[in-house]
Amino acid sequence: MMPGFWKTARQGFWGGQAIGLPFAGNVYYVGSGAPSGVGIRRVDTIAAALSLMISRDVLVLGPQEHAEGNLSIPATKPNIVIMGAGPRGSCFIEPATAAHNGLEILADDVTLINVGVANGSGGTYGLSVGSQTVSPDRFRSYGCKFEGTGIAARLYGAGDVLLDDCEFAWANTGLQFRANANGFVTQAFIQGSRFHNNATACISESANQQEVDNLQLWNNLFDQLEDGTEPTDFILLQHNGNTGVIGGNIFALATNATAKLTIGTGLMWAPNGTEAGWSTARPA
Amino acid sequence: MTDYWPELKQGAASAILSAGYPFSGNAYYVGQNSPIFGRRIDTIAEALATMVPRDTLFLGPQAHVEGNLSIPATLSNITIIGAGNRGACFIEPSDINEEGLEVLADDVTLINVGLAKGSAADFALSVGDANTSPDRFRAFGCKIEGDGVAACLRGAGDVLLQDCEFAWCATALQLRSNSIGFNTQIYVRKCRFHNFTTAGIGEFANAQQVNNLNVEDCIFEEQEDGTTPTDFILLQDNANTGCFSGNRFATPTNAAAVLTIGTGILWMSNATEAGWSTARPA
Repeated sequence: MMPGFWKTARQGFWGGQAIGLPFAGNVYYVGSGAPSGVGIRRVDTIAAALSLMISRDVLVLGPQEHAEGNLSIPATKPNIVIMGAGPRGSCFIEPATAAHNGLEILADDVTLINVGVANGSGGTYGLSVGSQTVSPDRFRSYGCKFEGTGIAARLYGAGDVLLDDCEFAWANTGLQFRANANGFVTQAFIQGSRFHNNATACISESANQQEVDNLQLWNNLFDQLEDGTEPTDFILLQHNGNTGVIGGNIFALATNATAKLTIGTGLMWAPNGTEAGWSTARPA
Repeated sequence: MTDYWPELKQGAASAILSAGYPFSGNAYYVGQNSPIFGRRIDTIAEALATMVPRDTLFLGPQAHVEGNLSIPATLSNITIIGAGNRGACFIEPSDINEEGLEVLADDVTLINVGLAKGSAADFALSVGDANTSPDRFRAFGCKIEGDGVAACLRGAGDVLLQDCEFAWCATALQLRSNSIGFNTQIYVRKCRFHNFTTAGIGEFANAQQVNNLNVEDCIFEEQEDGTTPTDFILLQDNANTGCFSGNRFATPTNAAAVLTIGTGILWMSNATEAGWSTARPA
């Protein structure tokens, strides 16, 4: 289970992402100890790099804390890849200012690999894909960790999303779906990921309304808080207009006959596991 | 157990297979026939004394007869990669009283490295000590073995052990709290435990040792002569938290004293000869 990140990183390597996609424009480096030499583009901050980058560029971040916040990839910069160099988990973005959010993605075809993203203690989200009026397509994330005091990650009207082998933790809500002015979140595929220490919900709606079409939650692990208490909800997607399949997931619950798993009629419940075993019964 | 090569590709993705990833400082080589273009050092101990944070150490595919190795807390972000075929690179002390490797720094990663210890020593691998709790230790495709405790997590946090092997020991993986607190967010997936006589995953003592332990898709086998260990799992304190899911145990049923978990650890479906069971071990 959860082999996708390394495979994808491999794919990235063979595709030349480590030194820039074959069709990439520029490769930028941010962080202490960044490579130097002719043709190496070193930039002091992620914000400065994002302002320089154009479509198809690659940004490689050093294995360290990057104390920046309110970062944004505008809709005019599609096809951006951000890779965290170094051991898994050692590269993360963590705002120093309490009110700051982490990273907002408004462009199509953005990929994050091995990057942690958090928000300031008073911020709203660690990662947000989309906004009230912008619905990015084809966001991908591999081996990333999202966390924050509010919402760790939010899909806001995004389409064709793949979150693979990621971690959503230390938040009120691990992953929130939110429709926007363009419509619902569509074709959201979350696989091999791990949710833990989310006090309110691991996966949640922004309101009791249709938020997502074609949600596929496959082979994820939903754990409790570390002190053994359960979140208020593991899954809260109560509107019957949501569609998709939830299958092969493990929930740290005694049974699925609980109010902690709430899905509307449009979401199918393929067998998922609790302490009561793999159950074909819909949560009730 | 198919994840090893893709993981190596992750190393390749960061270029650590060639000469360190983009932000690494130095790449060192220890072993016979090490490349002449690299920084060649005679021993692992000497390399660890030379390295600085973010350095990478490549070990040759051979037995490295060294012990009591330590990565101090000041040496964070170290990556140690065993070159060659899987399992061909291993650290094995010659002195019976020598430990294998102690990790005290954050963000240490081991890839394709075997670790053993002297027969009278305490551990082959220890992550943390009585007063140090390293974060984000990762091991991929490693084999850890020894006569007593093969691997010990001592107050470590945010640990990933993937596609590793724990064998030929009394206790394969021991969880032990320290003066700072419990082990936290320990993720063990797709690993193989075999030929351990006392416990596959065991507590140091009957007390809280771990929070958010996730053991997923691992296989726990008997000893090669068919005898069962005293315990496959022994985590009896009710304050431990986490869950076991998708694991296979080489035992007739889970209604056995060889699987002991406290109330804070959840038991998703795990398999024995009796099939995938929904019943907690009792």
